[in-house]
Amino acid sequence: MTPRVSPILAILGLLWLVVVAGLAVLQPAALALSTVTAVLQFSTILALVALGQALVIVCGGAGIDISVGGMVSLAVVLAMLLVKAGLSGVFLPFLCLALGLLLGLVNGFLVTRLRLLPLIATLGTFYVYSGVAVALTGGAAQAGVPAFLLPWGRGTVWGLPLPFLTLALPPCSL
Amino acid sequence: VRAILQRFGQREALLTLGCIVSGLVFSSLSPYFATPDNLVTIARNSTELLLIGLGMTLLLGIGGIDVSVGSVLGLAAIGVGRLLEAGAPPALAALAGPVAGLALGLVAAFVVVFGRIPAIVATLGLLGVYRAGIFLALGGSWLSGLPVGLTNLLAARIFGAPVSLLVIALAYGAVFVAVRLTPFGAHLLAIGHSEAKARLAGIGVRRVQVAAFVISGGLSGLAASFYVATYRNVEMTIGATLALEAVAAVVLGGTAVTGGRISLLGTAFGVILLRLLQNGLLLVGVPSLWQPVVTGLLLLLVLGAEALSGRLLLERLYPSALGAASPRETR
Repeated sequence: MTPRVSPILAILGLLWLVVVAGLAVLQPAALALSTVTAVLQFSTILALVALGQALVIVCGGAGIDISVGGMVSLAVVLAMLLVKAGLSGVFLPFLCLALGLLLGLVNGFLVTRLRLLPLIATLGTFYVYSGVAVALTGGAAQAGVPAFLLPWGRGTVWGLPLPFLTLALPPCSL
Repeated sequence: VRAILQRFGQREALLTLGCIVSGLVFSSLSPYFATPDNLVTIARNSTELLLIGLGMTLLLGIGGIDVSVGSVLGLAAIGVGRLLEAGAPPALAALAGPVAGLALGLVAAFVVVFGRIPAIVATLGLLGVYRAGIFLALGGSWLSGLPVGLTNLLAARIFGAPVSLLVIALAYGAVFVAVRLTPFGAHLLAIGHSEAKARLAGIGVRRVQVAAFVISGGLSGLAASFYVATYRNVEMTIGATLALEAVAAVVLGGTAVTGGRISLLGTAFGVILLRLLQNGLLLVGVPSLWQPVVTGLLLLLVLGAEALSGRLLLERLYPSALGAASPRETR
């Protein structure tokens, strides 16, 4: 059997070329290295969330997790609040990770133990997660991430953002 | 066992109880809750969600969904608002809402039924397009201070009842008749149970699916007319939360998201309980920022409690039946 490119990948690739070509014609200035950096910076978050979503959907059984957006905000908001409450900033990444795991565990419990439909269970937790995140902060952005963490989020190597190199690239290249 | 489970599935009774209990709690906590003015406010705040929820009930009934209904309301509201601004007669503007909704419902039907794209994916795509459309049409500002003509028209009373109440009663009545007394209802539920079997049984599956999307769109457009009449403005975020709130209310009401089981009365009660809680909590002093949390918890509590009670009951009666009772257990 000859390996075949799936039609969806082909269409995506085509769309990609169209966008790049469109940019080249309409806004050539956008085709700078800095654009690549900026795009990769933003797409890292989406790539990580989508990677997890892929696992849920691949599991089948109408699996879907619509609470991921709320999960991202609640995990980071809770972690920041804990750091502001006096916890060392060193723990921030681990806190985010642990809180994310915990919130995912709640979804897993609802779906597998209570046997709620994934769509409905995560609709409920979406409301709860995102609502709590907004209510706890009053909708205000939380500043005060420890300075030593900033280079990891904002730094680049040859124009490639560090978060992309360290977080998005390794799992997605598997 | 099925009879007992069905009795547990009498969600309408549970929701009525929920409305009464929370009503009593709120009126004991706040002197403003049980006033006629406030009850009218709750009814008023429920209007759009009642109409959209009705359409969502039909869509979930066939195993479909439309997550773009809030934005359909938004686009239709912009149409209604622009007509009012241009000095069109209020009756014409009022009609423009449902007409725009029907047209957009047809678009959704076309994409889902003839494009054969799963409903949640297709309508998510439409949601993005419509949101962008709302943004472009409003250009970053609001439609505000719209003429009062439409407000006066829809605030009118016929035999003492507000027009909105009559329209809602009429809509629910019409759908009830269609579902209970015409083949449409049987076809709808059959498709929800199994599209393939419904097709084999000779049901015009596509026709029913298109009808459900178009009805849902029309109701969203109708809700848009009421929205504009009430608030006399159209803001950028219009209807952003409505689709998910509608799904929550409909599911609370006992309609199965997997299709094949619907409850119109349950939807109405689900919407009213949701709005009642939101209103009551606000009066008791809970900031409105917590409202989505309450919506989510309510959804999880009701469904979780039902799942638990159903399972415990089954375990006690038929320890071995548990595997067979849940078709989703087959992995």
